[in-house]
This record gives sequence, structure tokens and C-alpha cells, in this order.
Amino acid sequence: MPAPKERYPMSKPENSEATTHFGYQEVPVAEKEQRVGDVFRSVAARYDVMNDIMSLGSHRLIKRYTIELSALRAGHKVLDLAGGTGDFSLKFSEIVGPSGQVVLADINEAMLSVGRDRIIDKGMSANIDVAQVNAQCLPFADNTFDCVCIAYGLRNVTDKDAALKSIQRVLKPGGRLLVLEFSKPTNALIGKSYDAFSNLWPIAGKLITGDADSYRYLVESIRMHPDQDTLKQMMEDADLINCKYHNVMSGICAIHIGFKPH
Amino acid sequence: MNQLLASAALWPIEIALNQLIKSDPHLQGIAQKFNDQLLEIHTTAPNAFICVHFANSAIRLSAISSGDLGVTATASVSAKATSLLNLLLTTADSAALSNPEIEIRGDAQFVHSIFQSLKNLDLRWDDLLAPWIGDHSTHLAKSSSDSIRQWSRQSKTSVSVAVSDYLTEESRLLPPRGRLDQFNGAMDDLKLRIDRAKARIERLNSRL
Ligand SMILES: C[S@@+](CC[C@H](N)C(=O)[O-])C[C@H]1O[C@@H](n2cnc3c(N)ncnc32)[C@H](O)[C@@H]1O
Repeated sequence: MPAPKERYPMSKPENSEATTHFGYQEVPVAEKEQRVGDVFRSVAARYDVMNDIMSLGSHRLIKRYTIELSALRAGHKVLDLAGGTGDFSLKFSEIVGPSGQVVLADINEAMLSVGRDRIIDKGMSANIDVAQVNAQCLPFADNTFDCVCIAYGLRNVTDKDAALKSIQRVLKPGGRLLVLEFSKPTNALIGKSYDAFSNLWPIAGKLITGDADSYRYLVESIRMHPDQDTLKQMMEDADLINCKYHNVMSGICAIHIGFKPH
Repeated sequence: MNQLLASAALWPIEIALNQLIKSDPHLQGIAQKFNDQLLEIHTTAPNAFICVHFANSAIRLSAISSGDLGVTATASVSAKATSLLNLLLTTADSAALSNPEIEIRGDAQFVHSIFQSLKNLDLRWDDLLAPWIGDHSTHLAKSSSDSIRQWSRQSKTSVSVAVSDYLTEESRLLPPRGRLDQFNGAMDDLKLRIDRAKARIERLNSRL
């Protein structure tokens, strides 16, 4: 099933004067989506290999831990938002089983098509749907999902507040949002070492994919992402309750959890 | 961080158990029977916690408590690790779960039926190994270990048969107890006479 193109509105109308950050650069709001799209179109084919290299394999464990925190049960409906190549969707699909449903959703058709092919190759397409969507304006009915998970995706979204509100809307009352994202290390030494290590990513990107710029953007976008407490506040501002976060590897990553009130 | 490490430790165990479940329809049946149930196990000495979630003919292991997750466990069992191990490794029946050292909260019937299912299992370690080292190597490892076990069992039996035969044969050669006592007495007597002779020689020497 080819990913539907331009099926959903990709952006809210933007004020053409307004700017936002794209990594360390300030760019017009309307341009950020396009630029982020180019980045992920460029890295899609080698995304999984690069993930293993850049995280030294640790992303697999962090993802497993995030899935444990999702508390998913058989029959649940879950949205893997900014799900890219579908790592989470594949795992969610096993847990929710045939009576449940997973939606792998991403704005980028190249990432989605890698994800969709993986799902088909693993014979797991029975309970996974694929949708091209913008997190800022989700095309799902209110109160649809028991869980929404957005992993390493929120920092790429232009209007994060709009995305959090949109997620809150599609969650069922009592449903849970999980945000896995790079964050601010709580230990200065670890922070410095991690900074030094991530400076190598553009070099690895150049060697493996021939594209250093996309990986430079990834590094910069991590450093520009709101810290743990700021993101928690943003979730509360989006009417999510009982928000908390778990630091992973001394805050290199953080998993935020929040619930839609009953 | 501890939960992350625990998750890392539980991961290979979960994979191994799920491979085992996948390869055995009987185990699949058990996992299916408990579908969507959550069992928490707390042990003391050593202090440990594990949450087992049965989902779609597989199990998921986690070190995060149902309380932390904001969900309700079907049942939770708290006991000393040794009490739990004893329970599983001995032939105790499910009445043994009424042991005051084992505390069950929630659906006790669920815990009893898990216990019964585990007791009825005939786990074969070669099934556990196959997914990791392949069927052929497992077969080789199993048949060599079986032959070693068989060989050692046979040698043990034949050595003990040989020793007992030997002793029976030898026991016919041994003198009767009475003659042995006589012989010992004569030896003691001889020893006394030698001692006395030695003493006399010494005395004569000192006179010279
Ligand atoms: C780093 S990837 C993460 C993929 C996957 N969640 C994982 O953990 O492997 C980030 C994804 O966010 C997607 N993305 C960026 N902006 C988005 C938006 N506004 N709406 C939906 N997805 C978006 C990108 O297309 C990309 O696939």
C-alpha cells in the first residue's frame, strides 16, 4: 500500500514573518517542515544502521524500556507518532495482538515507506496501519487511542505545543502519552562526553550515507530541544495530567509520561 | 537507571523464554490461558522484583511495578527467593502455596493455576538451547551429554558391581575372625619380647 501523498493537511497556515529554529539556524516557520522533510528523506534508507551506530546500540534498550512504560495491553489502540521506520510499531503490534490496533504515523513518506516494507516483510501488517500525518494536526477522531508514543520525533516538530494539544485530543480519557526524546544530561561530565561523542555523528553520517548536513541537524536539534522540566510543563499546558519523566542514562534521554484526564 | 539495567538483564531471559514458548504448543497453550494477566513477584533475600505480563502467547518481563505503571496486577506474590525456588523445584502440590512465608495478593486462583501449570511442565534444556546454538549443535550437545551421562551411569554401576564381586571373592580368602585375633595376639607378644630384648641389650651395653 503506497503511503498516501498529501492526504492530510501538512501545516497550519503560518505567519510568513515568524521564524523558528532548524538546528542552530533561524528559518521561516513555513520552511522548517520542508527542511526537516529533506533531512529524513535523505537518511531514511540508512536510518536504522545509523541509529545503531550513533547510540552504540543503546537505543534498542531505551526503546524496550519505553515500551515497558507504555503499559499496553491486548486490545489497546496505539499511535506510533513520528514512527519513521516502525521500530515501535512492530513491538506494539505484538503486545496489542489481533484485537488491538497500531497506527504507524509520520509526516515523511520516505521514512514511512521503509517502515511499511519492514512491517510487510515481518508479516505483521495485520494489525498495523500506516498513515502520513502531521503531528500538529492529527487526522483522527477525538478519544481514539489508549496510548500515543512519540519517540525522537517531537524535537523535529515545528509547533510542539500544537502537537501536544493534538495528541491530547486523540487520546482516550485516561490514555497515556509517552515522549521519548534526547534531553539534558544531569551530570556535567557525562554531558561533555556525550557532546564530544555526538560531534562525531556528522562524520559517521558522511562516511555511511554521504550526508553530513542531516546529521549535523540531528545533533543541533538535540541541543535545542527543551529540557526535562520545560517539556513537562509544556505537557501540563496541553491539559495532560500526572506528568512525570524518567531520565535515562543520566538524562541523555528522557521519557516523559502524561495522561488525558477522565 | 536501575530499572533500565533490570530491563537489560531481563531482556535475554524474556527472549529465551519466548523462543521456548513458541517452540512448544503446550507452553503456548499455557501462555494463551493467562493472556493479558499480570503477575508481580517480590522476593526477599535477595531483594528482587519482576513483573510478568502474559500477552498474545508470549510473556513480557519488566522490573517496573504495576503501581508505577498506573495499572492493576492480577496478583502479586511475595516470598523469600529460597521459598519460591523450593516450591518450584520440589514436588510440592499447590497446597504448599498456603505456606505463611508466601504472601499472595489479588487473584489467588490465578497464582494457583500458574503454579499448577509450571509443576506439570516437563522442561527440556535442549529445547531451551536450540534457538541459540541451532538444532544440529543442540542435538550434538545433547547426544554427547546423554552419552557421557549414560557412560558415567554405566561405569558407576559396573565399578560398584566389580568392587562388590572383588570383596566377595577376597572375603573368602580372608582368615576367620578367631584366627585373626590369635595372629594379632601372637604379634603383640612378639612385639613385647622384642622390646624386652632391646631393653636387656641396652642394659648390657651400659655395663660394658
Ligand atoms: C528520528 S525519527 C524517529 C523515528 C522513530 N520514532 C524511532 O524512534 O526510530 C523522527 C521522525 O519524526 C518525523 N517527523 C518530523 N516532524 C514530524 C511531524 N510534524 N509530524 C509527524 N512526524 C514528524 C520524521 O519524519 C522522522 O521520521
